[in-house]
Amino acid sequence: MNDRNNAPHEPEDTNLTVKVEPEKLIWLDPQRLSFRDPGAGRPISMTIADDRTYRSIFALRAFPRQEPNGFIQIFQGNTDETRGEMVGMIRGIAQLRQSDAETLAEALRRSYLVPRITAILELEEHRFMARWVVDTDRGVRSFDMYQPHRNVIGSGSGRVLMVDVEENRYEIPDVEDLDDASRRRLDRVL
Amino acid sequence: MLDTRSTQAHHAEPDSDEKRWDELSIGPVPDTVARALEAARFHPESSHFCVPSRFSPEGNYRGAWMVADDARVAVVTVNGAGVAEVTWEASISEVRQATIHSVTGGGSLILHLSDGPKEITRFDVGQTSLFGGFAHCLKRQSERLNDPDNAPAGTMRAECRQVLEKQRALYCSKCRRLLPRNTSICRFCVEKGSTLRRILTFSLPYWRYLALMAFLMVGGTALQLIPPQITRVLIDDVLLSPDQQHRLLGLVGLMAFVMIVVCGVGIARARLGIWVGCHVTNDVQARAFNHLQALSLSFFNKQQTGALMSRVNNDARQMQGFLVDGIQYTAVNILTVIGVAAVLIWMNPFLGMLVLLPTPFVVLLSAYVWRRIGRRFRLLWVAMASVTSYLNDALSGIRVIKSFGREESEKERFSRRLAHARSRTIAAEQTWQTLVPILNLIVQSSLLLVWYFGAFEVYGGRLTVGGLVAYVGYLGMIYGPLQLLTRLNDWLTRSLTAAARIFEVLDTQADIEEKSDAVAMPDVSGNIQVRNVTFGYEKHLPVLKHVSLDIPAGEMVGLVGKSGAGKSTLINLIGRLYDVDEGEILLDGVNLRDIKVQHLRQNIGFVLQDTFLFNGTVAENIAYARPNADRVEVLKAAVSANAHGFIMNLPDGYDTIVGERGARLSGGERQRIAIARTLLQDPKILILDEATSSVDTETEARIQHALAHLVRGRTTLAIAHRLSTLRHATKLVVIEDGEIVEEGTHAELMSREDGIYRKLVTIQTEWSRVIGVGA
Ligand SMILES: Nc1ncnc2c1ncn2[C@@H]1O[C@H](COP(=O)(O)OP(=O)(O)O)[C@@H](O)[C@H]1O
Ligand SMILES: [Mg+2]
Repeated sequence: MNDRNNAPHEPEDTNLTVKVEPEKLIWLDPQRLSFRDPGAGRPISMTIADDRTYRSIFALRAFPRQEPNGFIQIFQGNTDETRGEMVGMIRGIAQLRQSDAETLAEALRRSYLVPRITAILELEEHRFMARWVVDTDRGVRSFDMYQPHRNVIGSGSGRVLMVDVEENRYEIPDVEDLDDASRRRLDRVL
Repeated sequence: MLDTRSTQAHHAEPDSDEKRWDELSIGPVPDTVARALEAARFHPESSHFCVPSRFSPEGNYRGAWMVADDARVAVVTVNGAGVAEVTWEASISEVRQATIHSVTGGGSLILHLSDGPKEITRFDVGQTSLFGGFAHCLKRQSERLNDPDNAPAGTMRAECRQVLEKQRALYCSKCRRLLPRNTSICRFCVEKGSTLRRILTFSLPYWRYLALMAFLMVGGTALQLIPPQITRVLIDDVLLSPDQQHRLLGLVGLMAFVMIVVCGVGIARARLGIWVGCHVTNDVQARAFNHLQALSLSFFNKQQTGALMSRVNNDARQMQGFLVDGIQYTAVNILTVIGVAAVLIWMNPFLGMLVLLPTPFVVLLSAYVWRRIGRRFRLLWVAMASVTSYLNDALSGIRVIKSFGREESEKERFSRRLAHARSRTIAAEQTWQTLVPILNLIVQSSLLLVWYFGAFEVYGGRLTVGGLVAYVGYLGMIYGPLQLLTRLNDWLTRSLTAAARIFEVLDTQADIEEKSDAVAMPDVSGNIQVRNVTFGYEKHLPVLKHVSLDIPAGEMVGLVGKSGAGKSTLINLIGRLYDVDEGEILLDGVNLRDIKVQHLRQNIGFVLQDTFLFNGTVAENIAYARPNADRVEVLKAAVSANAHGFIMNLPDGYDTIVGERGARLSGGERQRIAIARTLLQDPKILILDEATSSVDTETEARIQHALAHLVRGRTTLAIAHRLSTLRHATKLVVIEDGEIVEEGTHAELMSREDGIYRKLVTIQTEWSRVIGVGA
């Protein structure tokens, strides 16, 4: 107890919570950005001209549904030293050079394992679950879904999101593009 | 070695090798993969892991097989032609770090090799935990290979097997569908029969009533068959021969009597059914609730509380519906159908066959019709629910709507939903009103057959006029039950599913289990030793790593660290809300796992950031841990907790109802009630987790006084954002990223030039100076 008496300063007046770094919105200048994909599963790197190179980055969309090609937030990848710190935001992919835009698109593909459904091959309904067999841009897949009415989420624009029992996601970019049989199956739950 | 295998392959079991690969996998390993692996000198006996990731490294569904033995890790991919080959391989000793990177829809396994990180494969959401576990295994094995002296205990094989088993346990072994959480019972594979039997075991205590019910059912059904026979006699013997007029009154009287008895039996049966059904449901609900209380917090973390409430309530109600009405109607209807069919054939075999033969067709047809109608109505309900939830939102948020002047746009959003619901209502109702009359028409067409062919039977003298009328009467009795029975399967399935869901709760294993020989420790002195504890909510993501800490009885230890460091996790472990993964925690020298859970909890008092008050009076809430405490004790506790003043100002003083439906108390007020509650509990060990972080400075000062009372003479573990709160601590422990990084008195820690604690204190002091509060 008497330790307290020889304390250098009593923290009596420390009535505030620990300070945190305030978050900032940093815009990256597309003219100065370049991306590189070494391939073979190596992380994509990003260089800001006249500044520095980030050896490993990943990218996420701020508005994946409303503006998939704009507002891309860049993070530092998981390496020994860095752990997902934010680097900055890119306003639009289109402002990048063609080759860089392609690499960034690849970075985005790595962040979203969301297959696009091109056809619904089967729908089998049970009391509490539905089993779907679908064809996607990543291959054929079958999956189970609880409460189809809740997990097939339509939006006015014809885009449909599906969520399976394991919380994997699937996307139909536009219902109008499906063939008639697929549409009829979808209509049973939508 | 190669030779023996090839001879084996020639002889008896060509697929014995594959079988052994299967044991290292989730599901079967195809031939081609096994061959590719053996070509690369991987053998099922010495390998530990052989699992297909659901996405290939390129992100398509072709997948890739992750394989590892003691020394090597490899990826096998299957090309378009169906031929597998090893496309990547590395030695595990090269692996410096193994992690997973989660993304939307799945994640990737990343190995840090000598030349930097590399994404090895991708997987979907359902495999996140599996590959997380695998990464963990690889990392430990690499440590073992590189530094055998300080290697972690265990073997790669055992660790991989554990990971595989955990993943397998998530899926039904029969249909391979994902199981509901924490159970091993598949909703698909659970037999209706076994669920039904289980419901019946709950009804067993009421067997006398059930027997009586069965008797009433059979009796009631048999009696119902009598009136048409009286009709027949009435027509043939009385109506058509005027000299028999004297029998009229007797027959009508008999008919009235039978009708009254049938009515009485029906009422008795229904009342009995309700009584038994409600009792059984109640028993099931009580059992489910008791079981829920026994489950550890980790169950509640994973399950949404709402879903649990729905199980205990809605599912039980569904089951009750089945027990009360379902069984009765089913039995009565089946009995009626059988009885009537028998009578129809007995009265006239030819006509009987004529009307009964099309029945299967009619049953199938109506099953189809009901399915169509059911689908329409389900869609309607979804639309209705959306209207309701929108209304709920808009009305509770009406202030926000008005303050932003958004009334018009809200009106429009609402009418859109209404229009949607309207079109579905029209679709559903029109389907119903079209299909049902048509169905009825078809069903009743057998009536036409009876009139037409029955007439010929009458002409031919094989049937009397009265017989024909009775026949038509019986036919009318069979339509309703037949139609109901077509919906029986639907109904039965729904109720049994509800029952199965409740049983799922009952079948969930409690993971904090009390040993049968647990030590009784009603009184403890409060010595706590944490020894080399490692713990993660998910095993592969340890939140605490090798934490050791001694807290002598009666002392106060302050835990300091950033949010997310693992402070709350540590105290959860000390309260045994979870069990540690590695290491041990001792209370007075006894491992927590060996102490009776009730005694442990009795001796530990928690004051947390968010205090939950039950619906009840202030006094009841204070006396929660000791319901028999007298009023003076309650008052004393409240005074010590600095709560007396505000309680006296509540409209009904200590009898004021608080909790969700009661008076609204501020955070600080609820906190002080919680402190009073803990004072009355009088635990030897006290845990304060940010007890004062949600209140203003003045309230904090009040709570501080209350806490000063509380900590006296107790072993105390305190977590506080405001470091000044911890000035009474005899020892401070700084936790960072799940590890203890500094430990000592305030003075000792302040004297460290580069100390983390010193930095935290300095930041806080500066801030308060800048803003000009405190001091
Ligand atoms: N119930 C839980 N399930 C999974 N992860 C959790 C759970 N509770 C806490 N965590 C994680 O454990 C880490 C430590 O959390 P916690 O002990 O609450 O930190 P602190 O109390 O120091 O702020 C955090 O990363 C948090 O996200
Ligand atoms: Mg906490």
